[in-house]
Amino acid sequence: MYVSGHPDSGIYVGQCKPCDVVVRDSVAEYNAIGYYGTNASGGVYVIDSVFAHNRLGMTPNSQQAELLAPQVETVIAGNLVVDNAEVATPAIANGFFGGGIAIGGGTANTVVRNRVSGHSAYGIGVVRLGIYTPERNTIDGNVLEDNSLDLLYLPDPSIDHSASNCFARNTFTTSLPEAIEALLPCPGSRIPVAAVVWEQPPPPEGIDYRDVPAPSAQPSMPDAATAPWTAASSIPPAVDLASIRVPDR
Amino acid sequence: MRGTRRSAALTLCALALTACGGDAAEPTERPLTSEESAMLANVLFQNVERDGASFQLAVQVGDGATINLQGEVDWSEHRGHAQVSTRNVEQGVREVFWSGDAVLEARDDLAPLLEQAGRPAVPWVVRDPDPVGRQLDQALALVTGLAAEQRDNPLLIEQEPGSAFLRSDTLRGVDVVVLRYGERAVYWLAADDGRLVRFESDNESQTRPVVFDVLEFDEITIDGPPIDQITDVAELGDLYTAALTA
Repeated sequence: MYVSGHPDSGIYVGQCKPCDVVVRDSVAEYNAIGYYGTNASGGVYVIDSVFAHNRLGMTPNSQQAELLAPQVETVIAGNLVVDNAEVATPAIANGFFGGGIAIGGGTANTVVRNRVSGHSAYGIGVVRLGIYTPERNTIDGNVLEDNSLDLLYLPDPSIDHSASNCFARNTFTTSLPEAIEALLPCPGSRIPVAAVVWEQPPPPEGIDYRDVPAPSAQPSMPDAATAPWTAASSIPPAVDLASIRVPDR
Repeated sequence: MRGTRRSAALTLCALALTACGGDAAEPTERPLTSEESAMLANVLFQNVERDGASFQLAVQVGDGATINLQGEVDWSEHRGHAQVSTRNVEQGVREVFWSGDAVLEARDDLAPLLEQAGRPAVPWVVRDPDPVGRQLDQALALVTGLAAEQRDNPLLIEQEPGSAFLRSDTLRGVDVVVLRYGERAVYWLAADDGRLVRFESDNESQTRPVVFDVLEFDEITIDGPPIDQITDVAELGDLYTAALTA
């Protein structure tokens, strides 16, 4: 799947439980948001894909605006999440800009072995969103570089503990709180954590989605005219999570 | 429920004297179809796409207090212009230009105010918008607010409590579908292309009905009066505030 120039999200999975969705080998670029998973819970895999030049690369999140909140259990693995700080994109309705992967009030998500670089706000953020504060998320084995802030844990101000969110084996330089892997080790448990202060930079003005340049020619399905058909199935393809590696840049 | 809505509709018709006249079809409320929720999702975005429109707005803001506007709105630039008539509220305002950061008023009492302030006579006074404190500004914000830079989400509209198809009707010779978005926003949309023909709303206690009628869509450019015809409200000091409460 290739998606570009959407004023909302390039790829959207939302309001489902279980969703049983696998997004794989896809590219989302020059959208407001690359992958947007509001209240998308259970059996969601977003893997081996590219999210680049959006305003926000990927965001499993909880919102009251849709049914089935809070969001639970999405696996984000093996993705190339780069340079999602593109000014020449449509604005995000709520004004965010410059993030790689934002778990916005999500629960029990697994973010493993992604390459995340080139973000002006943060690389991977486990952050509050509206009334929802993140819980039981695992951020493990990701490679982060060239982000203003690599890793961020920003719960609701009333939360003075880790809420079982954990960070381990990531390659990174900066984090808030500092030494985040020592403070919030995996497996996650309830550990006291002092509140941090982080201010979202003001977003630049967006462009009209119709002014996003048309994409170049994209590869098509090989032998589409003669390839044998495959019956659609309500059962998503199996995912071998252990075999997924950090992608090259 | 049905009777309550009819009572409100009568009040609305009394306010929108020139615009009412839809054939009184029997209510046929039912859930929205996906096509109808898509019409609602598109309507405010379409307003921006169509650039602007001439309009009438009738607002009841309290017992016996009303504001009526007739003018033009540029939804793409968030600007407007209207002739103003009021009763028991916002007295003295005859005409208004507005944008996101300024409101220009032509007032009956402006000449004596300027004379008292020792300022030269000009027809316009400019001030900051005050959508909290001024009923007029709430009406202006409603007009420019009937626009969206993006389409809404049809699924979310469909599942919003209160959203419903109310009836098919005819308004000013246009076949329309009357759709409710949530509990209190009612859109009359042209059956052929979904364009906005009328917007109605009310508060929870149904004491502040609003009727907005699109007269004609058009490319609208709002040019305010020449700068030398405008005085800043600061030049009037407390005289302006005193005039509002007189």
